[in-house]
Formats: sequence, C-alpha cells, structure tokens
Amino acid sequence: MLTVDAAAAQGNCPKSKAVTIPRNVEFHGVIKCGSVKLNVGGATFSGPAQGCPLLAILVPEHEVEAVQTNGERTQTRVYEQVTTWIHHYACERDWLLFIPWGSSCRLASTKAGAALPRMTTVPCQTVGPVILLP
Amino acid sequence: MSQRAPKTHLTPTVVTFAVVIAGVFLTTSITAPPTAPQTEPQRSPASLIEASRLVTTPQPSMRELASASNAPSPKSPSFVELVKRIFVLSDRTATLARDDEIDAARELDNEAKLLLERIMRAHSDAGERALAMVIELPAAVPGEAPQPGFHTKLGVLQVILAAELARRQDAADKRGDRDRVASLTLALLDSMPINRHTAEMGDRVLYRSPYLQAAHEPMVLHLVELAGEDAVSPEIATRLLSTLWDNLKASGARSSAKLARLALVMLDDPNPSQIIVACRQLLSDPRYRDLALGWLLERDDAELTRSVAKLAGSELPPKAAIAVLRALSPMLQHTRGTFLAIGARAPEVVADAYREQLAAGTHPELRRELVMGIGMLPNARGLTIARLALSQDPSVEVRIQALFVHTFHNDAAGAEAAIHQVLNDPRVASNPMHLAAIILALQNLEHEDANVIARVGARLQRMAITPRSRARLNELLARSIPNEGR
Repeated sequence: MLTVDAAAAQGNCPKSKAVTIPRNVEFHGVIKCGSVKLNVGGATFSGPAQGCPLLAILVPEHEVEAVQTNGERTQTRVYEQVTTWIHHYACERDWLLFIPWGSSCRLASTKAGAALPRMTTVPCQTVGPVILLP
Repeated sequence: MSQRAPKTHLTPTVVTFAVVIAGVFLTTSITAPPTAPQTEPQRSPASLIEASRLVTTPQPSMRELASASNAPSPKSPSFVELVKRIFVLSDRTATLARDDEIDAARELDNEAKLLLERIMRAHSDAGERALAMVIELPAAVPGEAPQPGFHTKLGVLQVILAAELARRQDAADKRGDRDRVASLTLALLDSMPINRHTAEMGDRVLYRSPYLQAAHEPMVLHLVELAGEDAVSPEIATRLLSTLWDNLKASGARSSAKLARLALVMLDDPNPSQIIVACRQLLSDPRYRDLALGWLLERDDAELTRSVAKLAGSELPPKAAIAVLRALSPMLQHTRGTFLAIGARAPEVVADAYREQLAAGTHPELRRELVMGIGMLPNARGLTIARLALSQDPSVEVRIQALFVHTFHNDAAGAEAAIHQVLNDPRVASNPMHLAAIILALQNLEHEDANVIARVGARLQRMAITPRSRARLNELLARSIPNEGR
C-alpha cells in the first residue's frame, strides 16, 4: 500500500501533475553490413551497402511529472514501474548481393534497459493519511 | 543540366514516360515502341504476361536456372526477362539462405551476380529501365500483405539502380560529364511522390550518396514541400535535403557560411523537414551552435527537439554531440537512450562525460542517461562505468540504472553483487517502486544462473514489494526455476 507523502500534509505541496507519454519506438545508430563487388565493363563497383539499426528502444506508455497548470494543489504518485526494452540488431547476411527489402537485419537480443514510472495525479492532502491501492 | 521546375504529384504513366526519355539514349519502356541501341521486339500485353510467368511457374532446379542464365539462345532475352530471371534466382537464394543451405545459396547468388553484370554490360540505360520496373510494381495496400516476391524484386531493382548510378558517377569523375548521372538522379526524384516504395527506393539509393547536386535542388525542395502535406515521408525528405546540403558543401557549390545564412532563414519556415535540416547545419557549426540551441529551447517543441537530438547524436562529432544533448536535456526528460548513438561511436567520450557529471554532482537524470548510453551496448566497456556509478553515485535512480547494466551484460555474479549492494541501501529497501525497478532488471537474468535468481528472489520476497511486483517476481521465479517454483 502507498500513502500520501507526509511533506504534502505539512504544506509542501509540489503542485505537479502526471502527464502521460505515449508508447514510442526509437531507432538509434547504424551497423553497416558490407556490400558486394560488381564488375561492369572492367570497372569494379560496390553493390549498395546494407545497413541495420544498431538498436531499437521500445519505450512503453508512462508518465512524467509536470507543473500543475489549473491552480489545484496536486502532486504525483508513482504506482508501478514498467520496462523499457532494448532490441539489438545484427546483419543477417552481408555476402548476399540481392537482399529482399526487410530481410537484411535480424534481431540479435532483447533486454530490459531501464524502468519508467506509471504515475497518477493526486491531491495534496492536509488532514490524515490517504491509502492508495497499488 | 538546367534546373527544372518542380512538378506536382504525377501519375505513374506520366513519370514512366519522363523516366524513359531522361537518359542520354532513347530507351524502351515496357509499353513504348523499341528504339536504338538495343533491338527488341515490341512488347505487347501478351508478351508481358508471358514474361511475368517466369515468376509464377513451379521453381526450376538450381542446375536449370544456372544453364538458362548462361546458355546461348537464338533469341536474346530482353532486359525485363533477364531481370525477372534474377528475381527468381534471388528468391531461391533467400530461401536457401534461410534454410541454412549456405553453399547452395552462395552458388545461386553468384549466378545472379554474373547475370547482373551481363545486364549492365548489355544495357547502358539499365538504370532507367530498372526505375520503370519499380514504378510499374503495384503499390502495396496498407494493412494487406504485399504480393509474393515484392520485396525480392525491390531488392534486385535497388542493386541495379545503385550499380548504374555508381557506373555513371565513375564516368563523370573521369570525363567531367555529369549529364547521365544527373538525369537518372532526377528521374528517381521525380518518381518518389508516386507511392511508398518509389519514395523508399529514392531514399535508399540517394541518401548519403554523391549524386544529389545543385541541379536537383528544386525537386528536393518540392519533396520537402510534399512532406509538409504528408504526401511524402518527412523523414525521407529531411534525409535527402541533408544529403543535398552535404554535397553542395563538399563540392564547393555552396560555402558553409552561405548554408548557415540559409539555415537561419529556414528556422522561420513552418516545414519541419526544413527546420530540422537548418538546425543540423547550425549545430554542426561552432559559430552558430549556441544560437541554434537557444532557439530550440525557446521554441519549446518537444518533438522537434527529439528529432534534432537524434540527428545530433548520430552525426555530430562525439564531443559536440554530448554538448548539444546536455544543453537540450531539460527538453529530453522523457526520451530514453539519448546517448546510445554516441556511445556506439565513441564510448570513452560518453564515459568521460559521466565522470565529469559525477564530479559536478548535478543533474542525476543526465547521469542516468549517460550510464544507459554506454552501458546498454553490446560491449563490456559500460560495466566499468556501471561499477563506478554503483560505488559512488549518490542518486538511487542512477545506481539502479547501473544495476540494469550489470544484468544487461549477462554478468550474473556481478549483477547479484550489485543487487545486494543496492538493496542494502535503506532508501531502496523501504521504497516499493525502487524494488519494482529491481525486479524488472532481474528479467535479463532469466536465462542465466538460476541460483542467482533464486537467491535474489528469496530476498526480494521478504521485502515490502507491491502485490503486482510480487506476482511478477513469482512468474519470473517459476520460469527460471521451473521445478522449484516459488
């Protein structure tokens, strides 16, 4: 069970609110998978270099604390933690010349990368404790 | 080559026609009458249907495919027929590779490569012909699976286009005549608004290539304009405009100072692609970096800031990128993994940035991101910083992030030690949310040492965790220690 912070009961209300950030996927970095040499008319060219994202971060829906703008005396309360997942990629095959679109990368690993909070906005209580169900 | 006025959105038929007259030699489209230099039969709809059967008949054996590619034929196959043979070879190769029949896949791939080289030698307008085939491919319907072999065909046609552009660029470098590479580039740009796969083809072939030059600026700006109307992907438009500016700078066609002045004007443009490219230009120039940072912070646009931060992380010199992300961090508070792209390029720069921030004793959120930026990469350098953070960082959140790093690297023994060290902190032991975060980190050890999970799990079960955390922990223990359960 969670209870309202004693500081709020003493008048130190932060006047904040929980703002929901929607789920998002971000790709970061690039791995170059290499390219195959072609010989045309005596000149050598490289086929298009394939690339994969280094990793993708799946950020779940969560909340951040922001300033309360409606004048109410509120604060945020964290009630759960959710996982940010990190997916690492690797080049599928860099010796193939013709790679179907969408096939050059494979998922190498998926790991929990961090914890993010789920929050709710609650009033700053001045009298007695308020018990919040988890 | 003279600059062309930008077109509005064009139908495939119009652009196909434009494509096939764009080359130096008049070429044959799949519907137009044949012209020099290649002698080809006029292609009726019936012959097109016949040619397309190559990709729908039962799969021939490898031996049949190889001999069909190279045996002399009384009637020379057309460009389209040869490319369709590569489609079949490529499809079979991908299947063999997927089934781990690597030797057989390599053999077929080599046959396809030889066939491609033959096509390129026989057709000096292979680029225009390939682009026509890209345009004629039926667009994928959103929500529906694409036609069989769709992605294989695009992969093949991408190689032909890229090889043709490389060939023409080589000729331009040697002889100084850019007409042919410029015309094919323009044809690609013209085709991009047609549908999603033509746009992606242009992006794949032109992004970070030397082909975009001053002559293409009107068309690139037109694509940027279309992106503002959601007719073209804004990310693709941004990438092409960035590539164009890089090429103009590299060729000397436009000085850094002139691009900076243009960027300053573009900051007032409502088009997001123009603004992002402008910010990229200004942030890359130390003389204008602070100005751009100040403008971004004042504008207070979280989505724009995130896009610019991502560009900075992957493109600016590492130390400059760190400085930019530090400055923008108040607006990136809910963005995770901000420093990962820099960590992949220059892990020691990120490590040094963490040490500096730790010494300063400020901005724990920034320190947490720096630990993540170096720790969540597939090399063990992050463990050094994680150990430093665990032993010296005063912030509980940073130390929990360091704990994630230990579990991320499958260092079960190190992770167990880290978990117990963190749990010994009364601020952690008394806070159900900190304990919930630790249980999330434990997920990374699920397939590692079951004894570690059991010992840590047993300690956590005796602590003040929420019912939801308890259920999650019990599920994890059941999966990791199936015979012992809780």
